[in-house]
Order: sequence, then C-alpha cells, then structure tokens
Amino acid sequence: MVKITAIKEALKALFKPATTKYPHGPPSHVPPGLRGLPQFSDENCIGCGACVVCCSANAISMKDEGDTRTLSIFYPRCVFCGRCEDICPEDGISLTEQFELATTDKKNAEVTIVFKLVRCSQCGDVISTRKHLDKIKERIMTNVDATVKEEVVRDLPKYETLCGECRRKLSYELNTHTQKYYARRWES
Amino acid sequence: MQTVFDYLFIIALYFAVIGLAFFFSWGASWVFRKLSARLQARRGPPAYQPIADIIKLFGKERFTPALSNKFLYILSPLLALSAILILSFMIPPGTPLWPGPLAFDLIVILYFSVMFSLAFVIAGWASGSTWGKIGASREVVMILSVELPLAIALLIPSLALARGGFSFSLSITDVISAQQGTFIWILPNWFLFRYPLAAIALFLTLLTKSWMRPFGDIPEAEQEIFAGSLTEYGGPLLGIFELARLFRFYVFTALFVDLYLGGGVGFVFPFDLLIFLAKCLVIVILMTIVHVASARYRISHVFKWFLTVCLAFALFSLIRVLVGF
Amino acid sequence: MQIDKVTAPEYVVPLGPFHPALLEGEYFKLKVEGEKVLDVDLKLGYNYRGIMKLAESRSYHQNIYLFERVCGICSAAHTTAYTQTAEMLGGIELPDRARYIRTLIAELERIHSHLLWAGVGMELIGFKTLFMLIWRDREHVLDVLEAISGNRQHYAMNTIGGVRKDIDKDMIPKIEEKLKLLHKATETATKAVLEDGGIRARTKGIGTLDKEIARKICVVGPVARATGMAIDVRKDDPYAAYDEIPFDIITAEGGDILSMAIVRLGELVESVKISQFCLDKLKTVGGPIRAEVKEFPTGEAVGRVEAPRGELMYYLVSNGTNIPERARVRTPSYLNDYALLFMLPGESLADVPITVASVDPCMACTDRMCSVTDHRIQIHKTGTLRDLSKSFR
Repeated sequence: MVKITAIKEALKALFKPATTKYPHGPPSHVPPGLRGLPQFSDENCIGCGACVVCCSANAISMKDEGDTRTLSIFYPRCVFCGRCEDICPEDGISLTEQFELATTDKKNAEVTIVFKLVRCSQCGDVISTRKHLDKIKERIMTNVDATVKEEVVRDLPKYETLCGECRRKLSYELNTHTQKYYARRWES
Repeated sequence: MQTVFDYLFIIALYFAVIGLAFFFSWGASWVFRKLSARLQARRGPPAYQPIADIIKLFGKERFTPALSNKFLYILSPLLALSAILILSFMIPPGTPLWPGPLAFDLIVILYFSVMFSLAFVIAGWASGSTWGKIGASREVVMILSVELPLAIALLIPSLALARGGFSFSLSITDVISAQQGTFIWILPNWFLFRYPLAAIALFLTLLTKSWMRPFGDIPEAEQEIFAGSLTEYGGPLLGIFELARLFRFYVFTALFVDLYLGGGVGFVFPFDLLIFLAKCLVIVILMTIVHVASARYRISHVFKWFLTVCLAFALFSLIRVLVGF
Repeated sequence: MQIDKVTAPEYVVPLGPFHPALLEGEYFKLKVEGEKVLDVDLKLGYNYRGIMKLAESRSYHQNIYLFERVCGICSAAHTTAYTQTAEMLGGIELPDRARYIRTLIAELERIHSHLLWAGVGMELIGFKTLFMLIWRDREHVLDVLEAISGNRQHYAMNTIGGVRKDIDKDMIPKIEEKLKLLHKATETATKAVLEDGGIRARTKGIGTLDKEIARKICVVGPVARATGMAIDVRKDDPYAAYDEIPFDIITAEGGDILSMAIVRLGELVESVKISQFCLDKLKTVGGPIRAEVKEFPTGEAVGRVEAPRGELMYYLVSNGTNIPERARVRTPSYLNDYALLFMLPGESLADVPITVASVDPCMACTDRMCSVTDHRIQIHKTGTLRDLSKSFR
C-alpha cells in the first residue's frame, strides 16, 4: 500500500490547479496558428469558387442569383482542415484564430461574401464575378506577348461579355478564335 | 419534577444539534469537494454547491419505475434520512454537558448505523433494476464485513471506562468526560493513544461507511454499476437520499472524535464546541486525503480486509481491554 | 442426506450500449453468476458512419480529412496510413524533412494516446486523482501538437506526398522543453502506477490473455506485446523514418492488465526518445516538405502503420481518376476487441470495465458495416442508413 508518489504529486498540485474557469473567464491560451473559423478577405477574394470545389467537408457553397454571387461557409459543417486556404490562388480565404462559434440560430452560423456577377450578353449564362474577370484581365495585360498586345486589347471586351459556350459558337463571327494567335507566333 | 418546558427545551436542543450537524456537514462536504478537487489539480465547486445540488433535485419530477416495489421504493429514502437524523442528535457535539438522550447511546447508534446502510440495500432491491440489485448485494457484503469491526471498535472505549476508574457506561457523554487529563508526558488522555489499533479499525470502518475510497464507494462504483442502489432514483427521492448522505460528514466524524479524540473535553462551553468541530474537520481532511490517494478495491477485497486485518486490530484491542495490559 | 450446492442465480447483465465505463457505443451481454462473469457476447455496430462508402465519392485529397476522422485519438496514424498507401499508388517519394515531421507527429500522438489510456484506466479502477494528474500532464503533448499543427486532435498535417506545415527553427527548443516535462511526467506516472498496492490488486492477474489464444486470434499492438510477442510494424515493415531510428520494442510477459499497462508506459518513454531523435534531425535536415503529386494510375496498394493501438491497414484501389475506386480500412481494434471474449469470462463484474479498457478499444474506428438482423425471419440485410431509418420509424 505504498502510494507516496501519488500523494506527493497530489500535494504538489494543491495550490496550482491546471484548469481555468474557462466559459466564465478567458481561455488559458490561444496558440498562434490555431485553425479556427475560415474568413473571406474582402480585398483579395475574387469569388472564383476554387474553395467550393476543394472543400473536404462540403461546407462552402456558391449561389448565383440575379446579378450577384454569394459564397458562404456553413461553419457547423467545417472541419477546419485549412484546405481552402491552401488552394486559394489569391489569399482570399484564411483560417482565423476564432474558435468560439456556438450559436443558437442555425442561420447565423454562416460566413458569406457577395460579388457582382457578369452574365453572358448572348445567352444570359453566368461567366464569373466582375472581380474575377478584372483579375484575369489584369493578369493577361501583364503577361501578354508584346506582339499581340494590340489585338488582345481590342478583343478583350468581346471575351468579357461572352460565356465559354457562346465564345466557341461565335468565335469566327467575332474573330476571337485563339488559333490566330498561334498562327501569328508560328510565323514570327 | 420536570415540566413541559423542560421537555420543550430538550426538543429544541435536539433541533439545534441537527441544525449544527446540517451546517457542519454542508461545510465539511464543501471542504471535501474543494480539497479533493485541488489535490486533483482542479478548481473545485463554490461553497453553495453541495446544497444547490440537493435543492436542484427537489425541483425535479418524481417518478417510480414500473418494475419497482412502490412502497419500499418510497420508504427507503425516508428510512435513510430518519436513521441519519436520529444518529446526528444521538451523538453529542463534543461537550460532556450534553444530556444525552439515553443511557445506552452506543448500542442505539450501532443499530441505527446499520439501519442507515440497510436503507440502501432496500432501495437497491426495491428499484427493480439489475444495477440496483448488484449495488444492494455489494452493500450487504459491506454491512457483513464492516459492522463487526465497527461494533467492537465502538464498544472498546466504553469497556475501557471500567479500567480507568470510572463505572461502566454505554453513554458517549461518559466516554468523553473520561478522556480528561493527560495520558503520558503531554499526550492527552485520549483513547486514540491508549488503543491506537482500535482507533485505526474504527477510522477504516467509518471511512468505508461514509463512501470514501479505497473501500467505501464500491457499492456505488459509477464506472462499474452506474450508481448501484440509487441507479433508478431521481428527483425528490434522490434528493432525500443525498440529504441523508450529506449528514455522514458530521455523524461519522463526530463519532470518531467523541470516542477516540476526546470531543471538546477540557474547555468551557463555547470553546469545547469549536474545538470539537475543528477536530471533526481535521478528520474530514484526513479522510479526503485517503480518499483521493487510493484506487477502488474489489468487493472481495473488502471482505478480506475487514474480516482479517481490521477485525484483528479490533480484537487485539478488545483483548487488551479485557485482560488489561 | 445430500445437500445441493447452493449457487447464485445466473442472470444477464447488459453492459452497454451506453455505460459510464464505455466511452463509445458497444454492447457486452454478460452472463453473470453473483459477481462472476460466465459468458460474454459482444455486439458492435453502434457507431457506423459509412466512411468507406463516402470515400468512394471524394477525391484523394478530400479523403485525407475524411479518414482523419475515422478515429479522434489516432487521427495522425490514419492519415499516415492513407497517404502512405496513396503515395504507393502514385509512386511518390517522400522528401526527408517530411519523413521526420511525419514520424514526430506520429510519436507525439502515440504519447497522447497512451497517456489518455493510462488516465482512463485509472479512472475505471476508481483512482480519480491519477486520472486527473495524468491528463493534466497530457496537456503538454497536446500543447505541442497544437503549436505545430494548429489543432489539438485533428492535426491535418499529412498530405499526399509530404506534410502541410513546416516546423520552425525557433519552435524546436520549445518543443524540447515540453518533451522534457513529458519525460518527467511519464516517469512519475509509471512510478505511481507500479508502486500502488491498490492498482496492483486490481490489475495483476486480471483479464489474462493466453499467448496461444492471442497468436490464434491475431491480436496486434500493445495487446500482443503484453503477451510476449515482439511484433511492431515500425520494426517489421518500417515506414516514414523508422528504419533509421533506434528504439526498442517493449514487451511483457503474462498478458494481464498490468503487463498491458507496463507495455504502454514503457512505450511512452520510447516515444519521447524517438521524438527527440526526430527533432535533432529536423535541426539539420532541410529541403522541401512536400513532393509533387501527378496522378494515381490504375492499380491497388496496401499500406500499414503502427497506430497507438496496433497495426492499422489501408487498402486502396485506383481506377485512374482522382477518386478512389475502393478504400478499405482495417483498424487494430477490430482484432483486439475479439480478445475480450477470451479475457472476460471468469472475471469479477467489477473488473469488466478495466478489462474492456485494457485492450484500448476504439469502437468508432472499428464499425465498418451495418448489418441488421430481422429476428423473426432470420435474414441479414444491409442497406443505406436512410433506408434503415425509414424501416425503423
């Protein structure tokens, strides 16, 4: 019946409790880099929807209504794996250190971001968000080859207002088929 | 010639002692919970928690399980509460001035302490649950193994009175007043120092009777059999049981302090009460430390321990009292 | 005159599906005489979640986080096994740094799992103080894991071809400090458990598993090691960085609960050593932490790791797409739970909870398929959860 170690350890613990009065007081510590509630960044997020595809718990959903696109994280489903953060091309979504997410209303358990949508001028299908198209445009303008820049600048407004399907259908009519660029490159 | 007022005074005194027992038990229960929490590196409950738990139970729905024996199911908590209330005013709060209800306290105390345990056996059996029945059978084994050393250890001080130049008496008041003076050197004349083995035996049995580990919580081991006898109880009936169980902090510690630690002997009225309560608190803290620092044994271990080691301690002391060495 | 032997009546005690001693839903039908257990029947299937079916509709990368949730305690072991199998499919070589980080996480998880087991075991024999103190010390390892990965339980560290987060240079001394605390805590816990007479009385010679039976029913992990079999996937079929790390396989003789405790407590010390080794390597070994993943060609692969509870096996079939054709999980508890049928009979009812806990059963891991028997017509049928819920409404 020797139990000196247990008694010694118990007496050592007498004046330093390991627990805190957590719900009534502050939590003991929140480590940097805690994977908490995912948040969209108003500045960076372009509404491309990559996170919707990669989300491992299907917590992120995308809804196109009228001329707005709503991305929403239904965080009771979220498993805080951080895959959306990994996959995002623009740092538009990141996990915050916020972890006290309990709510009494299911409707409040959502993080949303709203974008202005661009629809196809021909068929009315969704192309993408305004911000996404702007980003694409910006990228094209910085990366485009100097030889075709003039033509690209001329063609871009046509691309912007057409969905992929209509662009394919009307490519010869509008002279926007991609082959002409390749042809030019081969020549030069 | 005693008048009606004398009787009323005595009744009022009894109620005062029950009130004292209640408030002491409340405080001791809090000390027990807080101290064991702190020893386990937790924070522990606030002071109102022991009583808040019981009040909460009284606010809940009363029900009787379909398979239970309804009469016994309701009777057993009342039996437990009445037994422990009687016990709590039978045991004088440390002062020799306490009139003492009867001249043969110790026998009655023994009787009611068994009755208190039996109430749990009845409760377990009447509730009609398998777990209740297992709890009841374990409680019976506990009674069988604990009561014999308990009885011997309780009666040793009273038998020893005749050795110390007093007349033989079964009254606790006499036992308390017999512990005046010093034993050897500066050790007070407590039965703890005169019969230490019997004191250990009594401490172990009282520890067990007040549901403290290593042996006490076997009949209600939650990881094995839910709550044992009380599995099917809920609401006010469980509240009565919990109230009865709260008094254990006074009854069983006071018994030990009165018999083996000299109560509050040697002080004048308000101080002897305080000294007595302080001693009770020391016993509660000691019990808590033993409770916290031990694992739960099996029921077969209880039988073995109490009918060999504990009984041997008690019997050795009994032989010492009777032969006189 | 002959007196019949008086026996206590036999009755059936239902232990579970919900019982304070069982952390998860499982059902033990105990045939009991007095306090003695005569016969046991085990029913599983209360935690079925259809994870393997779900895995067939998600991409390889999404499945990492799905399989992480097969078990809450050995989550890193599950992802290690899964990513390892997927890497075999895709023919991907792990970078060195990723191998050490993966090993470190696996060993820290083993420490956390074994400390959890020790605490639960103490609680089941009524030693609440050691339970609390062991779990207090377990917080150290959880803090380390939280600092590394950002979560206490689901680390989400492993990914196909490597790990997702690097360990900073300035974080390593902090982890080493915590490892020292852990080393001290494990030693204290071992001393406290082994010297206590009460614990010895409750565990020595209880729930004994015979070595021959153990071999026959193929128990794995600490349960097998407690019966004297020195089997360990980390040594037998090294994965991650285990082939270059020196460590001992802890074995014990006897197969009772005490020897299982000795094996697990000994492994704690070994795990601390392995973690320290990995940290030392991480200080010097640089390089990428993630290899490039191209595709998963048609084929099949089996991967196994030593989870805290024993050998964990994953089987994957690829059809060339980014979604696995078939995923199969064989958890260690699936084998170890069966040992209970041989361990429980003859024990006292009071020892049932600690005996059940001694094999460290993880029911959520184990439940793989839901089979419902119609007792009137004796037909087994399987179906989707939705259909089942309809038929029982």
